[in-house]
This record gives sequence, structure tokens and C-alpha cells, in this order.
Amino acid sequence: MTYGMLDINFEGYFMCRLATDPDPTNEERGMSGYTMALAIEDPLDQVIRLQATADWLKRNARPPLPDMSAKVGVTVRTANLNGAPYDGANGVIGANVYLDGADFPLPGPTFESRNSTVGSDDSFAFVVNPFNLRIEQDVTGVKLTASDYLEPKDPKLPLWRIVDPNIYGRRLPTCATIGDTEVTEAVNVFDAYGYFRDRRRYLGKLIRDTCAERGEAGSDEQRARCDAQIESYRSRIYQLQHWGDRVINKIQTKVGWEYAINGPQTVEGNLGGTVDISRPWGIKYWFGGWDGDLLLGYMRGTLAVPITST
Amino acid sequence: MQAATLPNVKPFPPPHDKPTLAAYLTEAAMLEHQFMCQYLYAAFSLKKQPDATCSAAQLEIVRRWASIIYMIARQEMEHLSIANSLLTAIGTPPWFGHYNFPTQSRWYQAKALEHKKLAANGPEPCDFPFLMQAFDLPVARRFCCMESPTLKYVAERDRQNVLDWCYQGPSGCACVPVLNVPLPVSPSFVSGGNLPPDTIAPGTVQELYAAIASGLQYLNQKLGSKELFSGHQSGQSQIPSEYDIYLFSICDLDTALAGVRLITTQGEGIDAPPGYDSHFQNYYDIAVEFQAIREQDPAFQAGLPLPLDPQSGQYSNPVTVEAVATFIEGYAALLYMLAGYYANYSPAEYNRPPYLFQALEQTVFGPTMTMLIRSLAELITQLPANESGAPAGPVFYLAPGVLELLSKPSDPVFFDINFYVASLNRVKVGLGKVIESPGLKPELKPKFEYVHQNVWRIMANLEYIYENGTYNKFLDLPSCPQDEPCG
Repeated sequence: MTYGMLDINFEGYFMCRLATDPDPTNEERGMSGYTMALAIEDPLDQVIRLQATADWLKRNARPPLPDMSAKVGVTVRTANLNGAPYDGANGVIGANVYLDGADFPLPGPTFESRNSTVGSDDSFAFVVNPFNLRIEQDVTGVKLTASDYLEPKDPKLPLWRIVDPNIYGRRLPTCATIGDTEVTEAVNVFDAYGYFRDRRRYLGKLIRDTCAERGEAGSDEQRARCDAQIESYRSRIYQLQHWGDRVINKIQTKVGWEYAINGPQTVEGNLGGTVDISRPWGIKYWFGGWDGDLLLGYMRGTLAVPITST
Repeated sequence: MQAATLPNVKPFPPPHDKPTLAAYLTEAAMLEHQFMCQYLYAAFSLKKQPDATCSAAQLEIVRRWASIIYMIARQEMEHLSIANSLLTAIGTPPWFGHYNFPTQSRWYQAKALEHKKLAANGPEPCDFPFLMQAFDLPVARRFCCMESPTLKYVAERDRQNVLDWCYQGPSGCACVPVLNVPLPVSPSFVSGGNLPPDTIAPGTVQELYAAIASGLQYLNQKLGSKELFSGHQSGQSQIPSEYDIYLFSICDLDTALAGVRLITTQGEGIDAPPGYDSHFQNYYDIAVEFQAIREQDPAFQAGLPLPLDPQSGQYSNPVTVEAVATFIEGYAALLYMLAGYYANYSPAEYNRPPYLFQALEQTVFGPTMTMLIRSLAELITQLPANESGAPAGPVFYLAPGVLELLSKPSDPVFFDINFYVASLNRVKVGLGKVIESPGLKPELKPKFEYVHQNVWRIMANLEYIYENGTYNKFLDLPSCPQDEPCG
């Protein structure tokens, strides 16, 4: 028997239909920021989606995302005991990672700043709120959950009611870097300018293709659908051109969080030992590689759980 | 740059003393503020959903217009900020008031726009009243005309449209709605004081700024920089500049002229290279695109049918009455905060407790403008004006008492944090009443609750930052360590 720390390492692409400044933080269409909901998509809802259903993606994954190697879904990739690979915890490999709960009145967890009132848009000081982590492997039955409270003395207190940021400062990011190498590698975008230049060119091609398709359309309905697609591509080109660097530099930006989880923790299934749920688990993660055109980003992190291996 | 003058037009004189310069700048601040309100009202009206008169494809175009109109409105805020920073730099109070809408600015009366003619016998310009009007093709054209430089600066290919839109034709001025009663003419700061009434005639705003620039140069030479710039920096440069606005400290002739030049370049496109997106050019392009859509689809409507020049007394729906009254309170609270910040900002006091200027800076610019004023205004457009169900619009009304207070921003009340908190508390109470109103549509309740929460937090932040200063993580975060740093 060995007592040690089991590091559950996860990563993958997430999506967030995020409103951006100077739009209000609950803006549903996206009128003045660099992000927007296209007329043919769902509204912006601000929700951090670590997983997405095929149906949701059908409505909201913009080209070229459906054809890219990037697949939406944050999953567990490795598990290490005291820094070394640990086969006993193989049951967690491939598990989906979720953020549960809702940041009322928004319908899910969000990057909360409320236009620099509870955080800061300018310094990337967002609270991932709420933080209800769930790691679940449907095949092996391994499941871990862990919730963190902003104010342990009053867990139901919403963030906007906690006036002193010192109370929830631990939930704010620990760091932020624009031009981060790890992010660059994770999303495989080394030439940020070229990446979005290619995107604009690609959207131009889609406009030409759709115009050709429109010319052969047999009904008003088909033509209207083509028109909506063409204008949606133009809107995306407009945003990329108008906002320029503000979009471009996010693709290589990383924002990191790290804290000891202070709320309830549960574990089910075989992790190759007995997980200690009485001690706080450690969580460290970053969000970055944000593609403000596709509303797609990358997440990488580690959940550290104390375990006595068998 | 001074516009070429026509033989029948009196040249616009540059100010040769500080009080006159201050009057010009105060006038400029009011004009920028009035532009901003009109553009915001138009932007609030723009549709966010496709409907029977706006297809999904058209909605994309409307949204692109929204992005541009909001950008222009932000730049008018920037101009308002620059005009007020110039005022504080020369030791004069800023001015965040304006004459209420609808009104006819003297600067936009036909007789004041003579300089925009190409020739003395050319067509007469239109009167351009300042109106709260939902966005439509004539509104795009009116905005274009208001931002237009003199015709000699308009590109040859665009001149005919500008002549058609901005000058009187056989049937009058098509881009200005028919108004039942003549509008009151806004009082002018420029003609006040001890100046004989015919000393100064209003010209175009382009000329106003040219006169301000000349006056700054003249007075800098006559008085010296120290005496001319005897006031203080406004503090606007403490605000991170992104989002198409460019703010910098104004403290001497170079920075003052830079401010003036930025305004005239962004607005009319003076001295800008071909292709520059001035406000004039942006509205021109929107109007041309709008016209093309209308020709294909006469039913197309970009905006909700918000009322023309709404007054708070005209609404009958109780929820709307309360929401609009709350908006008016919120607008006053915003202007109090801006006036107190600009008038009394002190770099020395900024980092000393109590942190009044940090508190105002952190709460007024982003949060109050975006999370209160814009959010509430857009929600009001979702409320019925009356029993017909037609949508309501926000009212940018400044009561006499509010204007009186704004005219003396160094009054001790502007140093009292409780004054600002009390102003916002009236907004919070009003929003609470809206939320509790049985007539509020259920789908709108969470959205009003969100605004209510944010106002609660803005108030709390005012008091917290006043006591403690800005929380360090909201100012900056350290860089992330690389996992395996090289070397």
C-alpha cells in the first residue's frame, strides 16, 4: 500500500457562446463585442461547455470546425501516482470532464466578471462560477465529483453578493499570459496572424461557394438559407477585420487557476486504491487558445486526489 | 483645419481669452453628448431577432450596423471625454449636461451650415434637429449629414448623395421627419457671457474645433503653457484603451491639439487618408447599403418602431413608467459620477485613502454604462409603451435639478461617496419595483433581475473601493510560469 497523490490529467477543446465587452455580459446576440450568435444559431448563453452533444454542435459549430481535427470534449488522458503512470487508475482514462450547475440567471457555469464588477475583463480576472467538477467514465463506472464554495461560511451566497474580493480571491486566476508556448502547442497555432488570415480566406471561399449554390437553388426557401449563410460568413469576416489583434492574440493566451477544493467531494468506481475525500483535493487548470470566431478554446488541468493505493 | 469660407459667410473667430475658449469647449462637450444619445437610441432600436420584416440574412447586416453605430457612440463618448479633459486641463469645470431632446442645435440649423455649401448659390442645407429616433434609412442619412464635412472634403463619387440627402430639395429635407411643432433652439454657451450677440455666429462643428485649435495655439503663445494649462489632468488616461477608443492625458498644447485632431479625424474624416472609416463615411456606407436592401425588399425594417422623442409622461403601461423613471435616475447617477470624477480628479489623491477616484473610475465607465444604462435601455425596448403594445424607448431626460448639480461639479457633494451611492440606490429601488410588478412579462424578469444584481454590486463596489482601493488581481495578473522553462 502506498499513500500518495493521484494526478488525474485532463484536457481538450471546450466551447463557450460568450458575449464580449463592450456588450453586457448577458448579451444574447452580440451587437458590439467581437463575439456574436449568428442569426442561424442559438443565442449566446455564456455557458462553459466542456462537452457538447451532436445536436447542439449541429446548430452551433461553425465551419470549418466540423471538418477540423479539433473535437469538442475535455477528457481524462492520463493518471499518475506520485508523478509516475499508475495502471490502477486506468478506469478513469477517457472519462469526460464536466462543469455542472448554473450561474443564475445564466443557464450554466460561466467566466464571471460582470463587466469588471466581480472580476476584471481587462486583467482576465474571471471566476469560473459555479465550480462543480464532475469526471465520469461511462464504461468503467468511475466517477468523481468536487464542488468548491466561493464563501464556505455561506455556500449559497452568489458571487455578486460577496463584496470583498479577498473572500473569493482564491477562485480568481493565478496567472495570465499572452503568447504562451504551451497553449501554442496545444492548439497547434504557431502563426496567430496567419491562422486568422487563413480563416478570412476560407470564409471568402465559403461565400463564393454558397453564392454558386444559391444560383442553382430551386426554391425561395433554399435561396433564403443561402443568403443567411452568406451574410453569416460576412459577419464573421467583419468581426475578424474590425477587431484584429483583440481576436488574434487570444489564440495564444492562457489564463490559469489553482486552488484547494473546499466543498463536498465524492468518488465511485475503481481508482486502484482508497481516495481520501476528507482532505481537500487540489485543482489546477487553464483555459486558453481562444478562437473568438469559432467560440472554441482549449482547457488543460489536473485534479490531485490523495489516495492509498492497493 | 479651417474650412474654406464663402463670401457670404462670416468667418468663425477663434477664442482669444480663456473664458471664451472654455465656452467653446463646453459647447463641444454638449454637442458630443447629444450626438452620443441620438446614436445610442438608434442602436437600442436595432433588431436582435429575425422577423417578418427582417430575414436572417438581413439581421446579419443589421448586426454589423449595430457594431458600427455602437462604435461611433463610444467614440462620441471619447470626444466628450476629450472636450471635458481639455476643460479640466485649462482649469474649467467639465460639462456633462445637455439640453433635453428634442431640440434644434444652433450648429445644425440650415443657416449655420452655410459653410457646407460648395458655392454661394448652391442648394441650401437642411436643418438637422437632434431627435431620439429609431433607426431607419432617413435616420442613417440624417446621421451622415450631421457628421458630414464641408462638401469640398466629400469624395467626388459621394457628393451627389450628400447633396440629395443633406440639402433642401423640391420636397424639402427627406431625412428629417415632419415635426408638428417647431423645436426649441438649444441655448449656446458660445453666445453667452459678455460677447455682443452678433460677435459669433455658429458655424459647423468642424469649424468649432478648428477655432478651438487656433485658440489653443494663440493662448498658449499669449499666456504661456503654464497659465493656459493651469488645471488638472482628468484621469481618463488611467482607463485601458481598447474598443476603438483612444484616450491620453491632456496637459499641454501638443496633447490638446492631438485631442482636437482625433475628434475631427474620427468624426468628419478631416485629413484622413482615403478609405478611412470616419463617422461620416460609416453612416454614408450604411445609408447606401440600407437603400440597396430597401430597393430589393421595400418591407425591410432594421429597427423596432420605438417612439419618436419619447417623454416619460407619454407612457401608460405601469411597468414601463417605472422602468423609464428608473432609467432617468440611472442616467443622472452616471453623469454625477462622471462629473465628480473629471472635475475633481487628482493624481495625488488617486492612490491615497479614501479612494474616491478609484471608486468612481472602477464603477462608472464599464459597469454603469454597460450593465446599467445600456442593459436597461435595451430592456425598455422590450416593454410596451401603451395599450397598443408598441415598444417603448428610453428617455435621456435631465431634470432642472440634475442640470443645476452638474453645473457645479466641485460642490462638496461630489466628494461625498454617499451622494453617488444614494443616486444608485434610487435605481436599485426602482428596478426592484419593476421586478415585483405583476405586469412584467415572465421572460423579462430574469433580465431585469440581472440588472438589479449588477446595480447592487456597483453600489457595493463604490463603497468597498472607496475604503480599500482596487483589488490587486483586478489590476493585473502575473504571467503563467512555463512548465519547463528553457535555460
